[in-house]
Formats: sequence, structure tokens, C-alpha cells
Amino acid sequence: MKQFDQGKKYLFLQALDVFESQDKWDEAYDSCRQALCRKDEGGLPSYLGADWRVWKTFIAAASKKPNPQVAFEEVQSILQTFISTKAKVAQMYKRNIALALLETSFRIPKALLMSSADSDQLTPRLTQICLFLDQNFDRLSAFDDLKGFVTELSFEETKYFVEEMIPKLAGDSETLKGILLKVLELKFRYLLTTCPHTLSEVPSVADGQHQALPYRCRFCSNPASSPCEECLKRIISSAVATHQKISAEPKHVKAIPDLDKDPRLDLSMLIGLCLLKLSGLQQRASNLSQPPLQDISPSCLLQAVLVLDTQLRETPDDTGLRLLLVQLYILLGCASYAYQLWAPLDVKRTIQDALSPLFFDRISTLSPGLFQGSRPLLDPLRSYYTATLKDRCPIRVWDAFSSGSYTSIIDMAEYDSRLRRSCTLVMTVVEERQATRALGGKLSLDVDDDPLVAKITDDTELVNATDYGSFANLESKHSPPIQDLIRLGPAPSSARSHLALLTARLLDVVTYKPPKDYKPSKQQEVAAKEHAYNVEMLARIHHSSTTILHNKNTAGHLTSAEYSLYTATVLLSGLLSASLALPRSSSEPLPASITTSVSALKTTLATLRTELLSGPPAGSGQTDTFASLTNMHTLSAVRDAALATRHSVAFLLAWHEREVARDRSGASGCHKDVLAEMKALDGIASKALADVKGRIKLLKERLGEGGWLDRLLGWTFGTEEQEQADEIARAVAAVSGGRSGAEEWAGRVLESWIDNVKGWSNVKTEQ
Amino acid sequence: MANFRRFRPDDLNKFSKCNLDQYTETYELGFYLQYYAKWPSLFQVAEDQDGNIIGYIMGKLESSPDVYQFSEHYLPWHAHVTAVTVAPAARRLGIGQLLTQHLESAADANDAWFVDLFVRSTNTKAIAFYKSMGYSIYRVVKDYYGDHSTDPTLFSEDAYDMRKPMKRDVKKEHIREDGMNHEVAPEDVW
Repeated sequence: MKQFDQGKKYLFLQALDVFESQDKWDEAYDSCRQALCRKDEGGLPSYLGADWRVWKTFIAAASKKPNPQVAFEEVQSILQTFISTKAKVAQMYKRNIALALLETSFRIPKALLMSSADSDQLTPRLTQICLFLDQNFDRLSAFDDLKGFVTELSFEETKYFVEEMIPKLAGDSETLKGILLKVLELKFRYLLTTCPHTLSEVPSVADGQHQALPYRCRFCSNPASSPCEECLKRIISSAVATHQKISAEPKHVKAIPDLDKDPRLDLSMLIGLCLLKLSGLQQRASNLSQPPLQDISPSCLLQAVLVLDTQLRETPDDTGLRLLLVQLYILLGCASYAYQLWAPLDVKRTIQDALSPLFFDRISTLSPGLFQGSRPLLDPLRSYYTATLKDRCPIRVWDAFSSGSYTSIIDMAEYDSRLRRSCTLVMTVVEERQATRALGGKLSLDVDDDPLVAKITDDTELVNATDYGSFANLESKHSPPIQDLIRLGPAPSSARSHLALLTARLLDVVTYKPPKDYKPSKQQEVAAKEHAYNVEMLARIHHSSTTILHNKNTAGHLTSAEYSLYTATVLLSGLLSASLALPRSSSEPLPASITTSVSALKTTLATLRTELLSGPPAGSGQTDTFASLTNMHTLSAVRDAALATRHSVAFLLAWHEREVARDRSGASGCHKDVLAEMKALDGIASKALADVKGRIKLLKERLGEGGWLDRLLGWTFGTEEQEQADEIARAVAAVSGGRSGAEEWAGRVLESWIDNVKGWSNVKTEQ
Repeated sequence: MANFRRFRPDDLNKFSKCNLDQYTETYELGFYLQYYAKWPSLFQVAEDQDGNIIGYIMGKLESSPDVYQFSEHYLPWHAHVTAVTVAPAARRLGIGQLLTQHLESAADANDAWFVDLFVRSTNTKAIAFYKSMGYSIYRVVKDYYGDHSTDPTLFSEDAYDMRKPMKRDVKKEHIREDGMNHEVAPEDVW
């Protein structure tokens, strides 16, 4: 604490971390008390330690004291000294004090509470929430500040809070205060749809009737799934009405520039999030492996995108909204439009490692055409890593040594080590290579020789550090965050990154062609070494990819298409290494390692083809075209797996022919049964590639047909009659300028689909 | 809710709320780490309840090299504010002011004569903010910036070099009342 008294709180905060991690609450309590009792030069409470984190630890420690009554009396007494001086301090500290009061009301033992409640619902802690809200309703942070507390309330308290207290605080609903509190009410209502205590379970059979839905919503009393669809619809209707009320009142519009945020942005976000949940994305979160939009209602999804896109035109600087739309357009297969939204964010230099996956992850599987621009798409990332990691020594660590900043050294070394093991780093290399191969370009280096990943071995634990901090965070801890619902598949992971590297390595082996002017003098010797290298390398790839793919957690890190593709990597590498090592003259039946690999590979290719060719699920409301346009990721996996198979077949046949030419005895080369199986595999892979070509041709033809804007608007709103009968569709149309207003948006979506299919037309489906 | 603490390198993965704002510059990794390595107590962050960085200040302690000792532009031992930013979502809470105060405390602890910073002459909000915190214009650096923030037809803009005296400068020797009248060229600024 001596350091703290000198104005340095670094060690104090570190000590708190240690005390908390070791459950040393007495020490934590004493340290916080000492810090919060410190006076400044004027004899007033010092705010040096008055961080929210210190208050929170202090109050938590008080609740764990043997005599909490005495401890909480002390907490309240110290808080009182801050309250008496808070008029003169920064808003930030005022807020921390108010939150500390709130935290105290939640953690103080019930026996110590003096109940001054008007009713059972208006408990002391709810009273504190209302007081806080009354003072901070116009602050952007009000929702985030209260979110955690509101989810801790009982259902009775929350119901009273949103249905009675917020309207009471709002007073006249036509005033700006009334509107801002209405927006907060709707945000809390949305938050509560993500809390399990707002739903009660119902028996699957009641009164002899099978119950279709597993819950009853305690708010609206309707049968519900999680979240309650009826509540989400009510939030949408109410948000649209509030949105229109603001836009219709000139004095509200005039007041907006003086507010922390345009409340219509929050309302649009709410409408969008509710529609995304209604589209079925919530259910998808439990299985991110399945194809992106399987079982999703396209109308709700498109309505969500339309509302959010309309809002972005009004508030283009809102990065959270922009990032949300980037992800949604990627999900919709509109990669070129997503890129147009991504580019103004100007993600560059240091923040690329944490933010680039939000656009670039899996991008080569969605839209290889994006890589055809004048500047290589991933150049900024490659340049960043090349410059930053060129020295083996952590960047700037010698500055820390020479300045005597010894505490900085370890953190810098750790950061450097993490950066060298970054999933984004691997993504950069893998996406570049995949796109180059897809477009028929030449790779100048094998993946193992790429300096960015040359030091990564198969047992290196790769790290995902994607920053989702700018995304809207309106969910409770019981519900997946929005970014998990709208991502194309599972987040970057060590397992996926390794499997992608191993697949790249396999392709390097099977597509290797010696330089034309390479004429070794000892051809026999070189051929033998090359053979040994290939057997060894393929066995290594097989071993490593098998170990990773068969880990019980790996499937959860991959889309189903990726799982099939990497299964193909495992099988092809195993099949090739076994076939290369199998004597040609063996009269024994083919070993199981070969026959099972062949049959599993046939199944894998068949599974991928089925996933590609099967139409949208019945009843999903999706057309074949919509399902195809939004699932280029599977198309890419089919192509990659089929081409890898064909390359592998060609590799083995080429080796066989060389061996036959070299050794006329007939003892060298590939076993005839293996050759037969490989040819059969080649036929299956060729059919899969024909499917890919056919799909691209079909999409091109379909997109060339007329009437697309009407079709897209039809997918969004239904027919005009359907729209009139659908309250939600009408509401969405109302905030997005109606069908005519949505036409421009539909044009952008269509154009991006056309761009994407055009890019795919340049993708090679031949060896 | 916010906590103030010293920067650590992992914070760079939580910069999006600040650095996606169009008015916040993103530097190369070495630039951030140089400050962390040399002047860790002058690199402070504010984080929200989810660990996102919602504001930060980077500063350094230095004096002009000895070779300039007899130059009229020589700067004695002082702290310099290199960058200060607050996420749009966390503005109007006084976070910028608190971060600056943290840096000033560190400057005092390191016996600096003053804290200085450069600001565009058209950035009236920032100038008013710093004046409210006790900073004053020490000199005008002509054509310091290679572009103009409000007039695209202009190719340069002046900077105000603003200063606040620290405890060591008891006699207030390092500030001026008529700083607006002292113009210097960019090459005079070290």
C-alpha cells in the first residue's frame, strides 16, 4: 500500500487479483478499505482507488466477512463519504459510486436490509435500480450498467420493473425522457427473453394433449420456445411504433444530436435482433456445424438485414451496426457487399490480428472472386505479420531492458509468443493459398516454407484473439452472444487452423511438379529419396490430422462441410502413404487400411455431394436458389475435397507410371487393386466437380433471369397480400420505407450475388 | 463502469471500441510496445465491465538531446501526451480527463517540469478541454500537420503546443501567457 499512497496503484490491483484468486477475502477487504479511505491533499476522499473493480471487490469481500453486518456498515460509511463529495468529481466516478450503492443493495445480507418497500415487488434492490435509472436514463451506458443487476432480479421484480416502474419513471410517453425510457424498457424486455426464469416448463403432455412447445412465457402467458416468439414480436411492434414516433416529432429529431446516441439506432438494432431470433438463428447456435442457413426463415432474416441496413444509411459511423451487417451479408452470400461495408472501418496495422477474422475468416470459401482485385486482398495482413515478426526477438523487448521496465518484459514476450501462434496469422496464409489455388494461380512456396507459419509445428497451440467488443451485447449470460448466432461457422480455433495447414501441406505434396529444367544426374537415387520423403510426409499428415480430427472437441470447431473436407485430408493422406508403401506384387487382399480409407472416402464425397445437392429443408420457406446462394461454403468444400481426391489419384498414377517405366520387371509401382480403386475414386470426384460446375452454371442462369427485385422483395415480405396480413412484415416495411424503399437495398443484394457467382465462374474445377 | 489501470499488451486485442472510431489513429505494434517498454506508467487504459478498452492515453518522458541544450527550442525534462482517445460509447463521462490526470500524476512522480501535447489549431473542442484542465498554448507550430482537418483545399495546418506546469515548476517558468504570439517551424520542434 506504500506504492498506492504514492499514487501508484499498479501493485495494489495486482494484489487484489491474487487475493481474489486465492479466496483471501480478509486481505482483499482490508486493502480495498485502505485504498478507499485514502484522502487527497485537500483532505477529501481520494478517487485513486475508486474504480468500479475496487468497489466490487470491497463489497464482495464484505459479504464474506464473518460479521457481514459490521463490514457492510463500514462499506456504507465509506460510500457515504464519497457521496458527500461526488458533486465535484468526474461523471465516471459518480457513476461508480451509484453502482457501488446498487451493488451493496444486491450483496447485503437480507437480514440487514431495512425494508422500506411499498410492495412485495418494489424491493430495496429494485428501488435502487429505479433510482439509478431515473438519474442515468439519458446515458448511453445505462443499459450496460444495469444489465447484470436486472438479470439477478426475481421474475416478480423484473415484471414489476418493466411493466410498472419504467413507465412510471417515464411519465409522459410523448416527452424525450418518456421515449428514452421506452427504448430502455424494450432493451430490458429483450434481455429478459434471454433469461430462463421468464419461462416456466410445461409437461410434454397436458390434459391428454401433446404440447408442441416446451415452455410457457411468464410475461405473455403464451406457450413458448426459448426465446418467447410472442414477446419478440411484441418488442418489434413496440420498437417500430417508438421509432415512428421519434421520426414524426420534429422536436425529438432536433434533440437527437445532443443525445449520447440516436435512440432510433437502438430501436433498429432491437428490431433486427428480434427478427434474427425469429428467423431461427437462435436454434442454429446450438449446432454451428450445420450449413449456414439451414432451417432458417429467409423472410425474417432478410427483414432483419433490411432494417439494419436502412439504419446504417442513417448512422454510418456506428461500428457495432456495421460489423453486425458485415457478418450478416457474409451469411447471406453477399461477400462483395460485405467488403464494401468492411473497408471503411479501416482495420489496419496492430488491430488486424484481433479484427480481421470478422471479415476474412473462410472468405476464400465464400467468394474467391474477391481475391481478383488489383491488390492482393490479404496483403495488409501479410505485411503486418512480416514486419512485426521478422525478428526472432519480441519487438521492443530491448527497450524494456534498457529502460529497466522489467515488469513489461514478461508481458511483451508472452504477447509476441501469442502473436506467432495466432489463428489470424494462419488464416492469412490459408485463405491466400486457397484462393490462389481456386483461381488457378501459382504458389511460389510450399506452406511449410512460408516464413509466417514455418515455426508452427503440429503440436503448437494456436490462439484465437478475435475482438467482438464492438458488437451489440443485449443478451444475458444464459444466451449465446449475437456474434455466435450470425457467424458463418464456429470461431477460429487451433484445431481448424491446424487442419487447414495440414490440408495445404497435402496439396503441396500431391501437386508437386519438379521444375522443368531440373535434370538430376542420379535419377534412381533421387526418385528413391523423393519416394521416401512422400511416404514419410503423407504418413505425418495422416497421423497429425487424424489425431486432431478425432479429438472429441474438434467437430464443434468445424462446419459440417469442413469436417468432411478434413476427413478427406485424413483419408487421402492415409490412403496414399499406405498405397505407396504397398508392394505391387502382393497377392494378399488389400490391407484394411486401404480398403476402409477408400470406402470412407467414397462416403465422405457422397455426404458432401448430398449436402450440396439436397434442397432446402421442407417448410423452411427457402427456395433452391436462395439456399444455393447462401451456401457457397459447402460448394467450396465439395470442390476442394473432389480436387484433392483427383490430385491424389493423379499423384499415385504418375508415381506408378514412373516406376513401371523405371523397373520393367513389373515388381515396382502401384498394386493393381489400388489402381482400380483410385480410378473409381477419380470418377466419383469428377462427378462431384461436375456438380460444382453445374451449380455455378445454374446460379448464373437463374440470376440472369428477370424479375429479381420483385422476387427478393417477395422473399422478404411475402406477397403484398401476405404483407398486409403479417403484422411484423408491415412493421418492418414501415421503418424501411416500404417495398419501394427496399428496392434499392434489394438491388445491392442482387448485385453482390451476381458478383459472387461471376467470381465463382473463374474458379478452376479441373486439375 | 470503468476501471483505470496500466496498459498491458493483451489490451491491443480489445481496442476495437476505441480504434474503429474514425478519429482514432492505429499505429504499428512496435509503437505501442515502445511506450509500454519505456514508459509503462504513462500508458494507462480505461476498461469496461467486459474488459474492452474504452479509453487510453500514451505518454513519454524526455528532454531534448544534449546537442540542443543551448537552442532556444530546447525542452527540459517533461512528459509528452502522444495519444489520448475515448471510445464514442464512453464519451461524456470524464474518462479523457481522468486519463490525463493519471498521466500528470506520473509526470509529477517522475519530476517532470511540465506536460505538453500538440493539438490541431482547428480542434476547438480539444483546445477547450485542455484549457479547462490547466493547459495553455506555449507556441504555434506552423504547418505542422500535412493536411487540414476542415478544409480539403489546404495542405497543412498549424499545431498548438500546449503545456501544463507540473509541481516542479514552482515559478511557472515553462509556460507563457502570450504563447499564441510565438510561432516556430516544424523543424524547431523536437
